[in-house]
Amino acid sequence: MVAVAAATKRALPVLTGLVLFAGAPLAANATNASLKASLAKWSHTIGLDARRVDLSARHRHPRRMTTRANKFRADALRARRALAAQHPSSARGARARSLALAAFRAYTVVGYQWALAGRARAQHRKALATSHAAVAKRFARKGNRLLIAAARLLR
Amino acid sequence: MKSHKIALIATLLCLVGGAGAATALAQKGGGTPSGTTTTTADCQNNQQGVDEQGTANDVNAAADDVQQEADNQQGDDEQGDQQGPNDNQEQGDENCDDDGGDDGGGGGGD
Repeated sequence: MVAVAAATKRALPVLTGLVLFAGAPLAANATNASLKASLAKWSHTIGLDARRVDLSARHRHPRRMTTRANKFRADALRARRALAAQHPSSARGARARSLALAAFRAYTVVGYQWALAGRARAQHRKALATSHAAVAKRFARKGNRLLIAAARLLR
Repeated sequence: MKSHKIALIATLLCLVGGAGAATALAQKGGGTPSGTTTTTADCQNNQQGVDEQGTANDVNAAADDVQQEADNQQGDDEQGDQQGPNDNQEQGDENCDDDGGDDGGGGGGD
């Protein structure tokens, strides 16, 4: 009986190590899953905001478009804050998070430029509106590329 | 004493095997949904890929349309653009959740 107790005592650190070793990947997966959920939630929100900006642009409602572009930008900033609070524990997750942060940084520029384009259009300054819209388009492409790359890493 | 040692080694081997299996399952779960997950989890995983691609498409479409409208020589719809204090709705907004908005008013729009 004493021998069993002694053997168990000796084996305890090994067992603890093994349990921790087995649990680590599961914990990493859990934090990556939370990052994935956050990214999905915010990209859905941003997508909806973009559709609304699109709708106002097509209806030639520059003031509404400006308001919605500001909302798009505010949501992109919120998304950045939410994603920055995530703590992925795998290198892949960390890379995905930094790509997602860069994507939403690009989207904040897009929202800002859309708002400036809307304001310029409302003031009948069409050349200025065109130049802001062109900058927005460039950043939109960049943001999209980064967002898709981030999502691919989390799949 | 010897049998205890054997039992201990067997337990350790089982644990190592379990740890290996757990790691393999976790990695599999992180990549694609495993066979034991439900259809809902499957949908969520697929939905995520769709979400990011869909967002990229929406942002791209919006960027194109904003640029097109900025270039447009036609005047704006001043009357429709009037905003009240509580004015968040625009014709076609209700479709935003489903199919990307109302295409009906896109062409003419005056």
